[in-house]
This record gives sequence, C-alpha cells and structure tokens, in this order.
Amino acid sequence: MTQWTQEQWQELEQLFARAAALPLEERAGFLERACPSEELRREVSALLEHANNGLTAAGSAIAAEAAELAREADPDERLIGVHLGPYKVEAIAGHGGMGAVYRASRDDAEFRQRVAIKLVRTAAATPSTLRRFRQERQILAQLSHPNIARLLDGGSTADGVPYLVMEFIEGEPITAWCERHANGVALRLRMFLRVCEAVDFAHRNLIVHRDLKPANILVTKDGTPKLLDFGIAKLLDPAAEDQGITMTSLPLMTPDYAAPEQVRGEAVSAATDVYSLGLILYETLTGHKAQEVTGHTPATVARVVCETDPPAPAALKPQLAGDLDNIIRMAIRKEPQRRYGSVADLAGDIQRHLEGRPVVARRDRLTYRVAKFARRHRPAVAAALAVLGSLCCGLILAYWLGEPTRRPRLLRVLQITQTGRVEGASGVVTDGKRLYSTERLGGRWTLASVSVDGGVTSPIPLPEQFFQPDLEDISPDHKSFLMTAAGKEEERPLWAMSPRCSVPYVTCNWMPSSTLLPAASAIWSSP
Amino acid sequence: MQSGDFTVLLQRWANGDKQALDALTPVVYAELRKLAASFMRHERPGITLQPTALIHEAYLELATGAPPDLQSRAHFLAVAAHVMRQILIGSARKHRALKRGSGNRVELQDDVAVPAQQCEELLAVDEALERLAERDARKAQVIELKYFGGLTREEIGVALGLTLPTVKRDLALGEAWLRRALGGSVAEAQA
Repeated sequence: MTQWTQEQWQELEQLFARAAALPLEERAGFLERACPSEELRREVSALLEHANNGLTAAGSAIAAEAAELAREADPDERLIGVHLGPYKVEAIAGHGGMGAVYRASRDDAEFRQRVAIKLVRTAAATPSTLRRFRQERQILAQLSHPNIARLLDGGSTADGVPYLVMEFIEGEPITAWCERHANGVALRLRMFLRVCEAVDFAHRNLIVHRDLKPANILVTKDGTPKLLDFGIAKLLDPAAEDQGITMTSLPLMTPDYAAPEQVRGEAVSAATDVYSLGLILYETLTGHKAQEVTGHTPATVARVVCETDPPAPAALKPQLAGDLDNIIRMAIRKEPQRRYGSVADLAGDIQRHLEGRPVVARRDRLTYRVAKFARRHRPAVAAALAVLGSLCCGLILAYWLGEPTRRPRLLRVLQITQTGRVEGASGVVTDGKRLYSTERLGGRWTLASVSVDGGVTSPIPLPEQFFQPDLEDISPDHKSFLMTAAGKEEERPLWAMSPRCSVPYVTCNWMPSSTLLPAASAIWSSP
Repeated sequence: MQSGDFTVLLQRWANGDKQALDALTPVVYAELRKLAASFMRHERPGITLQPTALIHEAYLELATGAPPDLQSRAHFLAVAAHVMRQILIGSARKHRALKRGSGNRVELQDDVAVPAQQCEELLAVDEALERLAERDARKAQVIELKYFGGLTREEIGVALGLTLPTVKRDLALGEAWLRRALGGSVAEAQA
C-alpha cells in the first residue's frame, strides 16, 4: 500500500464516503470522473470492495478470547475493589495457606491506613468454630509489641467467609535481608536476637507462633524486624483444640520450617518455635536451608522432618565451628525436651556467645548418639552386638578375673548451673535426665531442676507453707520426690510430691530426735 | 481510589491528558479481571461472556456515586474498551506462546480452549489496528470502541466528541481498510 500524505488521505476519505453513498453501479463512473490520479482511484475501489461489512471474524475472535480469559481468571481477584467493613481491598499481596492475602486501605477523613487482609477459608464454619475463632482473635489482638505485626480487626465477607485485618508490613524476608544488608555473623546474630525477643514476648503471653519461617519475619526499610501471623496457624486450625492435631492439619504449616512434633501431630509448645527459629538461624548463617521437603505426602514430610539431620552448620561454614554450631544444633534437636527450654534460653546463649562467655549448648554426648544410632538401626545393631558379645565374652571374663578392680577416676568436670544462685544445699537427686535440688530464689527456697547436660535451671514452685525444704530421694519410677520440710515446732514431716502437680501430701511425721527413719521403699510402693 | 477521583481522571483523559489514562488503566484492569472471574462463578450453560457486558458492569461498579451523565459514562466505556483490548491481546499473546512452546508438552493442548486460528486472528486485528492508527488515529479508536468495548455509534460520538455522521463515516472506512488489510486471513474471507 502506498504511503499517502495527509492531504491525499483526506481526499481518499472524501471520495470513499461519496462513492459509498452511491448505488453500486454508479460508483465506478463516479471514481473515473472524480479521482485526480489512477493510483487513488484503484485504492478507493479496493476499499469499496471491502465496505459495508462488519468485522465479524474479528468480533468472534474477541469474544472467544474474553471467554477464555474469564475461564482462567483467578477467583481470588473477585474481592479486589470490594469493601470489607471500613476497608477497601486494593490488590492481592500474596497467597497464604488458606487463600489470598490482600492489601487494603481504610480511608477516613483523618488518615489513611494500609492493612493486610487475610481470608480464612476453613472447611467447616460452624457456629462453635466461629465463636472460638473470635475468642482467639481477641487474644491475639491484645498482643502488642513493636516487632510483631498487630492483628487489628476481623469480620466476615458477604459470603460468610471470616477474615483477619492485620498491620500491613512492607519488607523483605529476614534471610534475604541478611544476604543483602548484614555482612558478618555478628550483625545477623543481633538481628536474630531481636526476633527472639519478640517471640519470647509472645511466649510469655502464652501465644506460640507455630509457623515461623523467613516469609513471616520481614525486615522493613529502616531495619526493624516484624513478625507476621503470630498465632494465626492455631486460629486457622479448628482441629488444634477440638480433636487434637491430626495429620489433616499438615497443609497449614510450611514443611520446610515445621518441627517433628508438628508433623507427628503431637502437642505444639514454645519448643516448636525454638525449632523453627533454629532452622532460620541455620539458614541465615550458612546460606542453606536446613530442611527441604520436596514431596508432599505425609511419609515424605515425616522422613525429612523427623529423621533427617541436616549437615552440621560448621560443615558448611567452618567459621561457625564451636559455640554457634552447638547452639544451632541444640535448637533443632528432633526431641522437643532436648532443645533449649525456651526462646529466652536460646537468645541467652547467643548473647553469651557474642560476649565471649561460655554457652550452655553442648554437642550431643557420645552415649546419646550411640543410643540413638542403635534405636535407628535396631536389628543391625542387635546382630552386631550379638557377634561382638560372643567374641568379647571370653576376653572380658579373662580381663575381670585377671585384673583387680580399678579405682574410679575423674574424667571430666562439667559446670551444671549458671544462675549464680545457691543450689543443692540439701540433697541432689536425679531421674537420669534432670538433676533436682533445692534452690534459693528471691529469698525463698524452691525446688529446681536442670538438665544433666547442664543449662538453665527451672524452678518448681512449692506451696507457701513449705519452709526449709530438703530433698531426700526420688521414687524409682521418677514420678515423686520424697522431701522433708519444717513443720510445727520440732516437727519435720516427710512429704511425697509429684513435680508435675507440685501439691505435696504428707506421708508421716518425722521428729529429728527420732532415730526412726522411714523406709523410703515402703512409702514408694504404697499407692 | 474514590469515585470522585475517578470522575476527575476520566474528565482529564477526555481533555487529552495521557497520564490520566495511565492512572485509570490499573483500576479498570483490575475491575474487568474481577468481573470476568465473577462471571465464571455464575456461569450458566449456553451463555458466552461478552466483553461488552463486562465493560458496562465495570462502569456500574466503579462509577458509584459519580454523576450519572452520559458523557462521563461514555468516557469510562472508552477507557474500558482500551483496557479490554490490552487485556485480550495480552491473553492471546500468552496463548500463542503456549501453543508454540508446547511442541512436546502434549498436556497443554487440552488446556488451551481458544482455537489457534482465533488467537492469530485477534493478533492480526491488533496489528492492523496499529497500522491504521499510524495513518488515522481517530478511525483506529472508533474501531477499538466498537469492537473491544461494544459501544454504540452514539456512545462513540459522545466519548470522542464526534457527530453521528462522522462516526458512521469513520467506521465505514476503518472497517473497509481493516478488512482489506486482513484480506489474507482465512477466517475473514469466510465471513
């Protein structure tokens, strides 16, 4: 097609309009007479041949594409532009486990507030689950900490789907932030400590996060860490309270940061958050994920989370060898009771490491590792032991018979407690896992326990009237203590007490002047 | 965005402010996508989604509280038609890429419901419209409003400030020009 000048195009337009208004048979003659050039005449004739017909094929192509577009459209987009309470939904900010997370804003005459809105599409929205949901929401709404994104509000959409309104946080996940902004281990540890402080604050308010992961720990432009979705995982999981946690609750957590007890459907506690924090610390310091679940079947998830030990942090970054390696590995131990007792303990160890003081975390003892290995490979170990046993039997017998018994020798001294408080003034008893003793705390004596590996002592409260307690013994089943405490006048009753209920019951009165010492075994065997 | 802002932006766009269109586009875009999604939720057999219906519904949603005058409505429909064209062309490009890239990925064949020919047709229309716009922008716009927005000739006149005979003449020449430009296309020859 020729390139027309503006004037020629206008001329063409007029000729076309005038010719089109004429009956078909008159058009050719008109163009012969009216067109100044043969080129223009050919062009107008060609256009007239295509005139008086719509673009039907184009129209149907457009309709087909529109239908396809609708077919593919994201159902989450339907909320965009909708008002939820005083908030107008603006855009999809991301996708969470339960559906889309939206960015919304509240426009008041006074100020404009930006919020995140999370839809909660649980399976059954029965009145009882909704009531529990509201109660939990109330508890979470009271959690106020500068490093925890506030839960502001909640409600239900027109379709009855509950939603949560949260502080909108713009930032990058802690792992990405560390990569870009925090060079060096110490800087990363200090950021991590701020996160621990916030988690510990929530724990002291009896709220466990349950789904800590880098995506839930954002660092804002000014370098402030903000924890998102505190306690939301529990809120979203009606099974958590009503029927106990089941395997159906698997999709609610992020397997890459889940703790073994979550995968097994066991009780979730502060130790669960310790584990996830350990994984995050591992990742921020080594640059590698500690736990990576590739499949989604419960069996795959369980194998990775419950059985696979990640490579030692020091194996990936040699400068982490020692304290930090021990700290991380203690936080991510598979058994909750063998991790740090609290996030504060974990933070305390990191703080001590930063200050160059000795830390609590120790490598697993050899005996533990042997026992664990044996548990994992039970048949093989049994067979090996049988062979070894028969081989060695004769040797050992010969050795025993031939050598006099050796005197015990002190192999190692381990500092058990670090609180600086007076401990174990009376007896010290053990159930093999923890040492129990008395401890002077705030002018009063209490019972206290500490792991046999050492660490932080945790006090076991005693009733008010319990003066000057002495720990005498522990029952063979490790369920009760035998204690004495000052009674009236010269009396010194003998008590039995379970460390769990800490309500002692008196078993007999024992006068110090008496030479009669009750036989503990008799007491223990009575119900 | 408040409906008041929305009306002001439409006004600015009508007065030739190109930046106003940039501000309006994402809002209209989101609304059209949302409506398309909601259409699918209430889909009834035998009813096909018409872009025109979407655009009119989007106006009802977005212009709540705006003065119900014909002019701002026509301005909105014009913007929506433009956005709809962008959405549909983007979608067609994606589908074409999927089909081309699916050489040995057979599973994609079932996913793509739009016949390849219609995708190509739509992209050809778009390219031809671009060429027409270089020659005569107003005619290209008139075509866009009719086909991508489903505007009537009267609505087009109000939106672009043209008399009805002018709209008719523009449409006649524009359509003829496009049909000729698309002459090689099989689908158009059958129509």
